[in-house]
Order: sequence, then C-alpha cells, then structure tokens
Amino acid sequence: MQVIRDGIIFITLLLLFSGCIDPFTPEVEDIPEMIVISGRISDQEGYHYVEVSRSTSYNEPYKQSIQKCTVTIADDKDNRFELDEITPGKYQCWIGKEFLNQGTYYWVEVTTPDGKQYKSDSETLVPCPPIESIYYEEKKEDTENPDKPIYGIQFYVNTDATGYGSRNFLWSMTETWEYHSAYMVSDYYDGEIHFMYEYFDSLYYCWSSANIYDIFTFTTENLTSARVTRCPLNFVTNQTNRLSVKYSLLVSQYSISDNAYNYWNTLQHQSQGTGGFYETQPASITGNIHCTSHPDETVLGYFMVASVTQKRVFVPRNYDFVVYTPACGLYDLNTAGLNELLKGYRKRDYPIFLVNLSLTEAGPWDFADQYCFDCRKQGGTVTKPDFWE
Amino acid sequence: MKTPVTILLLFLALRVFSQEPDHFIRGSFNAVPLSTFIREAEQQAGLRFFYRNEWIENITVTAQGDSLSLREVLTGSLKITDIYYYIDTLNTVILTKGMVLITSLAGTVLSDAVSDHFASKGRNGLVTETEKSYIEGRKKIKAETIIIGDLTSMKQGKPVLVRGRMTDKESGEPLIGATAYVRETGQGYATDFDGQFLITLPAGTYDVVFNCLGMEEINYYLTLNADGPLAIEMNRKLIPLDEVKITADRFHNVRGTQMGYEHITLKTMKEIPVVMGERDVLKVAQMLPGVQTMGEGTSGFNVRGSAADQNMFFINKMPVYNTAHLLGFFSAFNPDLVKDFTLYKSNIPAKYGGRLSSIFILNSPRGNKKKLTARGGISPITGHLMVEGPLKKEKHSFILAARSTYSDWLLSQLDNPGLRNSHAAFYDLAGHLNFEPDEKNTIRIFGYYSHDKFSLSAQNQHFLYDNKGASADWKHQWRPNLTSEIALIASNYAFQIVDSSESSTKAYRHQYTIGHYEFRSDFVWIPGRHLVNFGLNSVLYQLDRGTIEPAGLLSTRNIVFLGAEKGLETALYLADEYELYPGITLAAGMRYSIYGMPGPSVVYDYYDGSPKDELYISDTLRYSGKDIIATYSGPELRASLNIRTGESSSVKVSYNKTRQYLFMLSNTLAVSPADQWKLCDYHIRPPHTDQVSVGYYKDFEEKNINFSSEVYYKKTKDIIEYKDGASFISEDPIETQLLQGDQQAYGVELMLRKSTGRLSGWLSYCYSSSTIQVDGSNSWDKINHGLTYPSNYDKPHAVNAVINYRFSRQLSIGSNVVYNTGRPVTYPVAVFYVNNREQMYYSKRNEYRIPDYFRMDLAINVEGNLKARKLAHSSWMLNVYNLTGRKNAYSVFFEAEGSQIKSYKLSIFGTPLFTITWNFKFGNYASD
Repeated sequence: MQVIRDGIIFITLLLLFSGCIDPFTPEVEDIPEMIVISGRISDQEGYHYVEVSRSTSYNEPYKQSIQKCTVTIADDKDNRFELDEITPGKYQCWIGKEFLNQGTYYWVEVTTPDGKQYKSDSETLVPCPPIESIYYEEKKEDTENPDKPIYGIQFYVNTDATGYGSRNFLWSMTETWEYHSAYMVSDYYDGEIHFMYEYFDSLYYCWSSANIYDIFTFTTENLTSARVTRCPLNFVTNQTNRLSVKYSLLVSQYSISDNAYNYWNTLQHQSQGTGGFYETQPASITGNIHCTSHPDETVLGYFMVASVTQKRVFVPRNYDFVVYTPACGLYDLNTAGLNELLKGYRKRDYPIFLVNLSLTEAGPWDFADQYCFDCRKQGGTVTKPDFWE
Repeated sequence: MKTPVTILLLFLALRVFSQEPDHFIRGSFNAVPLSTFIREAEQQAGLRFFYRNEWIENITVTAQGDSLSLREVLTGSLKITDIYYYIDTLNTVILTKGMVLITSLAGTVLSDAVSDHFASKGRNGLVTETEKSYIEGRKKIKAETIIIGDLTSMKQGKPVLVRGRMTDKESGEPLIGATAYVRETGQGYATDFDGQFLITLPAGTYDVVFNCLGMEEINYYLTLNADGPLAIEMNRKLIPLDEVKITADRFHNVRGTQMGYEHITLKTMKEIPVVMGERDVLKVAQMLPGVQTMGEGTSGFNVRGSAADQNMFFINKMPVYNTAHLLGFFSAFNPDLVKDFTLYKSNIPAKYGGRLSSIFILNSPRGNKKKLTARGGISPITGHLMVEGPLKKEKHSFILAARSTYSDWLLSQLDNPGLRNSHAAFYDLAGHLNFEPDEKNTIRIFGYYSHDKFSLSAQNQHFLYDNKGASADWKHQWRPNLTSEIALIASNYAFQIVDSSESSTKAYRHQYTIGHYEFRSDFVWIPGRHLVNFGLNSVLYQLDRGTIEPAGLLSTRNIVFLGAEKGLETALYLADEYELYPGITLAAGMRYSIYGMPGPSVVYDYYDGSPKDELYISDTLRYSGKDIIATYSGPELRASLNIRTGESSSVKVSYNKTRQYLFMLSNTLAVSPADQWKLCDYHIRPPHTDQVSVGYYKDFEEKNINFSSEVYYKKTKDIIEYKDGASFISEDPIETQLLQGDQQAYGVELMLRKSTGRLSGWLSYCYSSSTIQVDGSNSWDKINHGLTYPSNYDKPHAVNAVINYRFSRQLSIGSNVVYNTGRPVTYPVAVFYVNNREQMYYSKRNEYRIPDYFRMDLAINVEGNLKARKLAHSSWMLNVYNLTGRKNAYSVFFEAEGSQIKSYKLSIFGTPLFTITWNFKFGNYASD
C-alpha cells in the first residue's frame, strides 16, 4: 500500500542499525524509441505550446527533439491553430481569448516528418476555482545527525472548488527569491588596487528564479466536500539562500480531467516518495495521444486541456531558524600574500573585489571569494522582476 | 530329520536341567554347510539333531581343531541368524527358528548380567523380566526382553499391534521423530508429535533399537504375543562430542513415504546464528531448500516460487495469520514456545488443506511433568521467559511463556531521524495445559496472544495488529489400533491503521479483522498392514474488511464500507499407506473440500466481454443471510510412492492437488502489515495447484550424512494477480482490481545434511523458476500484454549452508552462508522529457533482476559451567549478522531530484550487526 510505503522508507533505514541508500545504475537494454508529444492549452490568452520529441535510452538520456513537424491544435468549433516551431521540437501559437471557452473540446494533431499522424483524445475546459490561499508552516526535518536537523518552510494550498464542477487539480510552481551578496562592492583590483570612497549596491541585490519540477496533484473524488485543505506543495529548506531575504512562489492551479489526473498522479508516484519498503510494480503510463495510422504504436506524453488560475505569495524573512548562506570568510593576507594572489588572476577576471579593513587607501585589504561581492555569481540577476514587491 | 517342534517343547518342558552339556568335535571345516557339520557331529559324538532343512540352508561352518566345543561352533555359526539351539543330556540337539525354547517356568529373578540401569524401571502394566535359564542363545544378552501381551491372548496368524511411546526420562516430554528399528525386518518406525508409534508384526521376538537425536540409544528384545502398549524412556546423551556411532538405520530420510518434508527440532535451531540472537523458527525455515523471502525485514515466505499467502502456519493447531513482529524482523513465535516444526512442501498429507503451497506446523513443549522449571533470556531487543512444570506429577503439566520488547529505547539511539522519534513495541503471551488422565486420553489446551504496535511520528502513521486464539484438543485411543484426535480451534487476526501521511484532508483510519473457527477430527486406524487416516475438517471464516473513516479534524474523506463476509470450508479425507511389496510403499489419499459463501451481500454482475468496471454493471444481485452466494468444491488427490532402491537409498514420487479458498489482497512486492485477507466469492474463483515431485534419497550411514534431491513441477490455475494501481481501500469491489491467470513453477532441490557429531549442519542448492501469465481474451484482461513474466519471487539460484562446529560441551560456533539470485524487478528502459522533466518508461514486467544477495553470519555460543548440581545454567551467544557487511539490495528505486531522475539501491543491513544475548534456564547444562 502506498501509504505504508511512503512512511516505511524510514523503517528500512534500519530499525536496527545502519541502513543504506547508495547510488546505483541499473544496466538495461535499449528499446526502440518512442514518440513523445506533450502540450497544454489553458483558458488564458497567450502562447500555447506543444513539444514533440523522442524517448532515449535510460543509460544515456537526452532530449531528442523532432523538428519540422506539423502541429495543429483544433477544437470542436472547427477552429484550427497552426503552431510554429520556435526552438527545435518546441511549437507555439498564439490563441486569443475568443477561442478559449469553457465547454469547448480541444485536441492536438501532429504529423511527423516521416508522415505518421498522431491525434490526442479531446478534453474540455472546466472552470477552475481561484486559489483560496497559499500559506506555509515552518517545519523541521530530522536527519541522520540528531544535532543537525534541516529547517524550512512547507507550503500548503487551500482551494474551495464547491460549485465549480472540477475535482482534480494539478499545481505547478515557479519560485523567485531575492538574495544579497555578503559584501557590497567597493575597492577593487584590475592590475592595481583602486580605492573607492564609498560602497555601491549595484551588485548587491539579486533575484533568482527556478521552475519547480516536482508534480503535485490532488483529487477531491473520495472526499465529502469539494475542498482542498492543506494540500502540501513544495518544501523549501534553509540549506540554500532561497530564504535569506525574501521568497516568492507563483502557483498555477490547473483544473484537470480524470484522465489527466490519472496520468500526472502516476508520474508523480513514479519518482517522488519512492524507496519505501512496500513498493508496488511500477506502471508505465502512456497518456492520451494515439497514432492514427498505427494504432498499436506507443505514444508517450499528454495533451492537457485545463483552465488555470494563479496566485503569487511573498514570504519575507521572519523565521525561527537560521538560513545558511554561502560561506564568505575573509582571507587574512598581508600585502605580500595579497599581491601574489591577485597576480594569479587574468584580465578577464577583473575586477577583483576586496574588502578594505581600514577606511583609508592604505588598506590593508582582505580577500574573499568573488561571489561574496557579485551576487550574480550565485546564478541570479540584478534586474528586479516586475512583479516584485 | 524333521520333527514337529511343538511336540518336543512339551517333551522337554518336563525336564529340568541345571547343567548345560557340551560335546567336542574334531575336524577342519572351511565354510562347509551346516548340514554337513551336523552329519559329522552326529557321527562323531553320537548326537541326534532335530531341525528343518530350510532353516539352515545358507548357514556355513568354519572351524578347525581337535577339540571343538559344539556349543561354541553352534553359537558362532548361528550368531547372525534367528536359529537357536538346545542341547539336552540325552545327546539330542534341537534347533529352533525365531524363538528360544523355554525350559523353565517364568517368574525368575533378573539375571545379574543385565545392568542395573535397565533393571530399575518399573513401568505400569508391563512386565520386565529376563528368563533365568534361557537356552544359551545366539548372542550374549546385552539388552533385556520386554514381553508385550499375554501368551494366552495370542491369536494364531494375527499380527500383533504394539502402541509405543517414547519420552524423555527427565522431563516426561514426548520425543518427536525418534525411531524404533526392528533388525529382523529392516523396518523402521518414527514417533509422531505425541511421541507415539505403532508397530505391526507377526508374533515373535524381535531385536529392536530405539534412537533419538540427543538421547542414548537403547536396545531391547521385544517378544510380541498380543496387542499391547510399550513405553520407552530415554536418557539424555551427555557426551555429544566423540563420534557416537548411530548404528541403527536412520529412518526418516530413506524409509518414510513422506517427501517434500522438513523437520527441525529445538536442538538444531539452537545452533543456527540468527538476527539479534533470537532463535527464530521462521529464520531457520528460510535456510531450508525451497523456502525464500522477499528480503530482510519482510514477513511471509515464498515456498517453491509461490506467493506468501499460499502458506499456513499452525502452532499447536492454532492458525496464525500474521507471523511477523516488527515488520518481519522477528517472528510471532516465541522461541521458547517452539519445540520443533515441520514443513510440508510438496507431499502435503490429506489431513491438511486450505493452502496451495505449504503447511508449517509448530509444536510447543508439553511442560515438564517432573518438576517446576523456568528459562528465559535477554537480547538487545527482547526479553523472554518461560515457566513450565507439573500440575500433577507425572501426569499433567503446563507451560506459560511471555516475550516482550523494549524497543523504543533502542529506536531513540538510532541515527535515522524518521525512526528516532518513532515507537515500536510488541509482546506475546502463550499458555499450554497438558492433561493425561490415563493411558488412553490426552487433553491439551493452548492459548496465544501477540500484539504489535508501531508509530512513525515523522510520517504520522500509527499502526497496530494482533493475533489471538486458542485450541483445545482431545486425543483418545478407542482400540489399540484406532485413535482419534478431536480439536476445536479459534483464531483471530485484527489490525488498525491511522494514516495521515498523504495530507490532512485524506487522513483515514482502517480497522480489519478476520476470525477463523475450526473443528478438526482426525482418526488413525491400523487394520493389519494398512495405516489409514481419515477425518473431517471444517473452518468457518468471518472477516470484516472494515471501514475507511476520516481521521483527524481536517479530514474530509468519504466513509467507505468495505464490507464483511463469511465462508465455510469443509473437507473430508481418507488416506491409506500400505506396503505393496517389500520396499515399495504406496500412500494414497483423497481430500474432498467444499466451500460456500453465504450472504448477506450485494454483488454486481458485468456484461460479458466488458471489463469488470462500474461502467459495465449489468445487474445488481442482492443476497440475504439465507442465500449462498457462491460455492466451489473439488477433490484433492494426494498420493506418493516410496521405492526402496537399496539398503539406504530410496526413490519417492508424489502427486498433490491443493485448493485454496481465501487469499491476501496485496499488490506490494513484500507482504505489508496492512494487507487484508479476502474470501473467494461470486467472481473470484479459488486457485488450485497440481504438483508432481520425484525425489532420490540416500543415507551414508557410516558418516551420518543424508542426501536428498527433489525435482518438482507445479501448475497453479486461477492465481490472483493485481492490476496496476489496484486499491483495496476504495469503493470499487475487489473483482475490479484483480485478474486471474496461471502460474508455473519448477525446480530442483538438493540437500546434504549431517545431523550428528562435532561438525553438523546442512548444505543445500536449489534451481527454480516461477512464472505467471495473465492472458485474458481482451486487452483489459491482460497483464504485461498477456506475456509470461517471472513472478516477484522467482530466484533461480539459491544456496544455503548451515555449519555448526562444537569444540567442547561449552563452546560451539555456527555459521550461515546464504546466496541467491536477485529477485525480478521492472526497470525503466527509456527516458523522455515532459516540461523539461525526466520521466521514465518501464520494461516488461519483471524483466530484470536486482543485484544478487549474499550473506554470511557467525554465532559463538558459550555455555556456563557443566556442574551437574546447580540451580540455574546460563549461556551467552555472540552473534554477527552479515559478517561481510555486504549491502545486499532490497530494492532499486528512482527519485526525481530537480528535473532529473536519480537511481539508488536500498539495503537494509549495510554493516555487520553484532548482538549479544544472554539466556538462562533452571537446572544444569543438560536440562531442556
């Protein structure tokens, strides 16, 4: 049973003393490639995407796009939308509001360069309720070292779907967070040390964004009311700089069909929360697309028709726990040592930022890793996003 | 000359002689026929010999000398025969066959030649005497003679039935699997669970050797006149070190018709290193050929490639549905409670049924009938104590046993965070009363309760289950050759889960219970040379799958009533074992079982040719409590043939058919504690198995080694397999979650075993295959596209070695070595991207295997001092589990990290595990 399986991953970690999880690569034989058609149409005006690719072997995975396909989204009102290939394997088109109506059935048709034709089952747009709230709770996760647990915030979502007729939901999220470098830039070296009279915050404030790849689904099918209460979403730990200044989560809530729910839920359990004691046989799930010329062909991927609502939340730093940021110790170097160090850098690394221990141009200066000064080196950008509060 | 011997008897009875005369012959006889010697003696000494030619046809004489003593020559040549001689004072020599001439009246005192050891016994109702002036027989008297039955009750031509019983002299416990070997016929007899055996032989005197592992061998002459009882008390062997030659033929391996049968006693179990120093009977069973598990820490067995629900476990006739404590790390059987266990793998006797693959029978000790004693022990995880003693000395006895963990303390010491804050506990209690009011009646009452509780606080799951039950058994001897055993048994297994792991809105509670109420009657009848077993066995199952209810304030889960059901399984059986020709024994039995499921219930019927799904319901059938929803029945033939191919080798062939009327809802690869049992019903047909096996067995007596080899082939129809994503806690009726198909299993099991001596143990190798095919006519009735796939427990190669070496009485070392091929697994064979995230596409079901399993354990057992007089005796066992520290794969799993899939191997034990256990018992080293 899945529930026991999830929990009992801990039991396996050894009731008795030392359980182990080790990386392991199974040797498997390659199988013929299969086509993957994946796309989504929502009720929001804008670009809608379909991707066409092929599966690759497990031992050497890569994304093998299929280019030059003819991709068309059609609806049961005789509208057809041709998609253009914008990047290899990714096809988009703009669909205006007037075409995106609740109750209309949509499907996709794809013709690959080798002439094969594929078509998805049709699905309809069902109204999606607004997200009632996204909130978080501080959570502690124990680790193998009892003195060093992990802290973080666990997000939850509440939605009231009463009256909307939708009962299956899929959430996808994008996270954006603000972080700062350890030191503001001031004195720097580009062949010689420049003494600046002040600090500049141009490389101090950064923002980073990332997609959250985990899948979150929920169904209210066996519940007495059509309410989603406290459904767990992602868990953000204090082990990165995400929670160091301000964190924002943009949650997109899709109202999906039973079929789509079955598909995403199966994918979710394939690779999230595995490693338990009581595993069941894994199941391959093929989705809702078929090859019209060869009905027996396996087609992976899903074309999902879903209404979407979004909500963004901001979480300022206000936690009971410590957030870990990259170590930024100062290297205490006398002048000779500092010169040696600086001569090791090449022109393209300039400027090298330094910390002035006195307020004078005589120094001395200490060295620190450059990402401590230039926040961009941790992956972000100094451009503040439009939506940022 | 030929003269009727009987007339001579009368004639000679009138003569009383105090001296035995001798005569002297001169000559050189070199393997000459006895008849020739006789003629010579007649001539030389003027003697007259009376005998029958056919008695002495093959006897030769070898002697040389001028003054050969006739007595000595006759003694020497007749030594290994059953011919006796008597020389009277009138130069007459009479030869008799099979009996010694009685020349004086009975009632004389015991000869001094007989050791006091045998002389001091006084068995009720039996006369132990040695005739004073036996005609000097062919042997020196080394054992006394026991006379069974009155001469006056002797019936001409009718075989004599001896009801024997062998017990441990010190405690009164019956000896199971002890043997009695009759030299004259070369036939052996083994004792049953009550220490009883039956010998049927024509009237006469026989040289019988009694043996039991760990006991001193005893040799008696039995003079059988008429039916009667025989009680043999055996002494413990206190010197197990030097080679004690067991000269009597080992019975069980070669001579019994039973095959596919393993029998392990307490003594063997003591020396096998196990986890946590616990003498776990189920862990021992895993070392036997043909028995596998899904991995460490899982409960349930796979016997000969079959699912875990195809095995049944009985302790003192009470069935136990969940044999695992703490998710399988310990078994539910307190080691103190298990005296021995028997496993029937292929040739299941007709008296047992209800499960397809195997029956495990565990017996508890009866209780020391002589004195009150106790024993117990402490290991890092558990403590156990057993008290036993007489209720009425030499007659009635009792046992009380308890075991418990104190694991929470242990969990809090662990590294793993999830477990550190969790709670786990179990305990079990058992009691047994044994009443023997007289020779013909035994009444036994047994009660058992085991309880497990487990909470995973990190995941918010709480879990508890218990097994409870009792059995009452009355064994009665109606006639010497007819006994019956009537038993009433009740057993109940129940579990409860509260699971809030998925989300608070979906938190639920589930309670489940299954009751098993049984009536058993087993008769054993021995008319002449047949051994007939017959009886009636009836089980009422009452199970309530319970309700899925919301748990906690936030849960909005719908209540789902899973429903209750009942079933009645009745079986009649008749079996006979008969020796067709010397050395060829046939055992054939028929068990006929009938199953019925009464209402009330609501059953859906589906359209033909459509999937079983709520969309295709064609009819709703409502049954009341008086209706029968489904019945199934069928014969189960159990037959085996034992052909003795040599002095110590035999070939056995058996055919078995079994049926099973209930099964476990389990789509996890290992048995989970939340798995529910379900009865066969309107839609779900009972699976049935046909098994054929052929075995060759050989005993190497000089070395005390037994070799057994068995080849089997099993075909099961209507085996139950679950669809992907099956759920057992939803409203969907179970028939929508499963499909029934075929399973095929075959294999070879080889085992070499040495049971005595300093070095003992066994080595076994099995090659096996177990595959399943679910290939219905429609695509929705197929699993794996209708292709055959290996079952989850198909492990082609399995090697088990158990080695014990006893350095001295106090120190012994044991080691286990286990190797098997990894179990089948379904791996991803392709990767594709959806929204830039890796997804997996899987191979055919069970197309691959996880890495192989290898493990070595070591145990060092140190006994306390060997003083004979002491209050209590203790011993220490140091145990290392997984000595090489190999990280055996339990599973291989795939976890998404960011956009990529990473694969890992999960092992249960990654380093060697050291434990120390301390055990004590009242009495001394040899007490049990």
